[in-house]
Amino acid sequence: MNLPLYAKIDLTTGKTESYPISEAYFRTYVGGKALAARLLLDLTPAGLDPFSSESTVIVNTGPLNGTGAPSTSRFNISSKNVLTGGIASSNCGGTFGVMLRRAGYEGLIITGKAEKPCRIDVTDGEIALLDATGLWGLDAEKTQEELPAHLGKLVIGPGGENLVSYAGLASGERMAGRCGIGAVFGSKNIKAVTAYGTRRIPVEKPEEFSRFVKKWVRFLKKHTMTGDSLPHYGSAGLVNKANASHALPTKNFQKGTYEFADDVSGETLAETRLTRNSGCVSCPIRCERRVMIGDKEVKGPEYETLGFFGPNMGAHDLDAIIRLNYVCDILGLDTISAAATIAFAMELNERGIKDFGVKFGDVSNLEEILNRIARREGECSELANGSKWLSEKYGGQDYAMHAKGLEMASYEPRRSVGMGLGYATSNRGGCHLGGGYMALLESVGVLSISPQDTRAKAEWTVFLQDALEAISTAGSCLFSGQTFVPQILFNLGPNHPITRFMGKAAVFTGPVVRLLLAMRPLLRFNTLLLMPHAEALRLVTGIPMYTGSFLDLGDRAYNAERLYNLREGLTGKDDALPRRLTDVPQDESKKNTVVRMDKLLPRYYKTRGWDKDGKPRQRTLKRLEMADLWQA
Amino acid sequence: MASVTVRYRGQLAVLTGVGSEALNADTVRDIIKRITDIGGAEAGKLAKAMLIVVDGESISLRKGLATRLRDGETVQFLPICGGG
Ligand code: SF4
Repeated sequence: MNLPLYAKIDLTTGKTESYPISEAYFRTYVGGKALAARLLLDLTPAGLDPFSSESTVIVNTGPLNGTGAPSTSRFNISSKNVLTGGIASSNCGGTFGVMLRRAGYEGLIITGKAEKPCRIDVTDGEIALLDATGLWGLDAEKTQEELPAHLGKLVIGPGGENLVSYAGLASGERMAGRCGIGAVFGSKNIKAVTAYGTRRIPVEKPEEFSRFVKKWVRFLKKHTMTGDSLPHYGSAGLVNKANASHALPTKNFQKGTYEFADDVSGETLAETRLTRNSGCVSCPIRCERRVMIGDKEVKGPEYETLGFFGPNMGAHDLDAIIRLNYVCDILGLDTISAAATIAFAMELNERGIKDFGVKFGDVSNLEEILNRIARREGECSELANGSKWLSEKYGGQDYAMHAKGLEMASYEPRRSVGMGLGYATSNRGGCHLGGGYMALLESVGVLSISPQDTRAKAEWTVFLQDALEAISTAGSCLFSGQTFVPQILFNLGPNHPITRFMGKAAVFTGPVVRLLLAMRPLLRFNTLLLMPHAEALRLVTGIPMYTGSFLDLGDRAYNAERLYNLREGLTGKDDALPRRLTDVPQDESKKNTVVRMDKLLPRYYKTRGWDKDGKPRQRTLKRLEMADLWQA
Repeated sequence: MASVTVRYRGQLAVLTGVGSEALNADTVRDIIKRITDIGGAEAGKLAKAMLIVVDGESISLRKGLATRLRDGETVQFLPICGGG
């Protein structure tokens, strides 16, 4: 069995050492965010400031990274979360992860603080700390242009250098945006990490694996979601769908529909601005949008960015959004948190509480505002702290649209209540993907499980959260998991009586999902139809990985991150949403257009095997082989 | 009958040969019938399997294909999308 090799780098002393992962840890946590959470629990004491020199950031990969399996360039970065004080994890599709593995390491554990700006370089097994003073101050794009073209790169922009609470990292044009990890890099004076290597990435059963990969690619290409819709429209295609389901956040989540949504939709983008689609390394789906700014072709905006710089600001200027997306990327800012914080500031202005120079319907000055945020200039330095911080200073906690401190994504949960539960329970804060992405089954997909009904939502949320955690841990893109929605439903379409019936009947499936989760030890099979990633992991690692153990892996990742949060002082009380979503109906005439957390949360805890305060029970951790982490 | 504006997106625009047109129809089902007439069975089948939106609201929040139309409404046929 090829065990992962990590390197430990102390920037204060300049010392680097190998850090081999034990077979027990490899079998239990595999890699990616699951292993990173476990290592953060092991290697860091509780209560660290994320910007202290002792705080640790882990950049790591999953076993599928770089193997040629479809959509497997995604690598992970975990640390303490700047916005929530709990766990941070962020995922990126650039070339860095694959290059790191080719250079001989599956992960880097970085601690300490460099005296001056530095670049960590990993070339064919050798690690060097290089001076990066000349790069400091450059944006993420120029920084990468200054570095040799053959390297895999992971860099910060001015946002990270100036400790913006939602600064991200860039690898090529792909971003690891969320949770402020770019600022953790900045606090350590890391401008860039680069990697290059020629090592062959190990695969335990190469022939079987290569046959399986061919089958998997064919399957992805045939499925409507991954073979048609994502290549043609990217995630941008969700704007009109969310709007039609009243789930498109509008004016800081005051409403869920926007009159001019089509102006910023994926269809309009495809018809009027798209030059071509593109994608991450080894991805047959290729969801990336390519668009022009002047005579330069750049990465186009995704759904979240379209929604948040558009309807959520009461605006519909597609060219401005394209530009602001690019500006955020090169400044190294998370588009979701940046735009959501500005939308909150717009509402503060609308209510006459505080004027930061931003108002609903006007995005003309936002490029300047973003530049000032990234450099923490003047009052914009306050906007750089995120919406939770702003609401604690100026008020408006009821409509500061974050969970645990991380701004929520672009799905209005009052019309997708399972998504609301997901936001509230997601370990890194208000994240749709960490939250299980119930919106896909409730409001924006082919199937619609009654969006206002709380029944079965807790069970499905647990199932999907575990599945997505495991996919991410393996090193795969979460979009590759969308094939679990059966193709037959796309053939029938959302209006067919069978599809509609299934949506209605699904609210009675809670016990079935619970049974399925309880039967995990018996699910010793793999199928392309459910989670092909499990079979790929089995063939690559030699670990006996089946559908049931794959779900266990996700469960373990979820619990490890939860335990990190609990250790850092977060509690069940933090599994909450702003009162706008729980107490104020989106539609005054429909009282049920709120998220009933009082109904959803107890059921969720029970399904997870947590106590009434949201703490994992001892027997749950024992089942997951994590009993040593139990906190009384 | 209500007079409505119908917009076809994606592949359906190619099959029907128009991006949008004014039509008279009582229900969404009538429009599908019309699409089948002008674009053929393939277009009709595709239209039925798309996300259909009447005045900004998915017909799954109304009465599905039986949704009644009113004068001046816009009916959009959108491709099913995913992502996140
Ligand atoms: S589906 Fe999109 S985000 Fe995922 S790996 Fe492919 S191109 Fe990258």
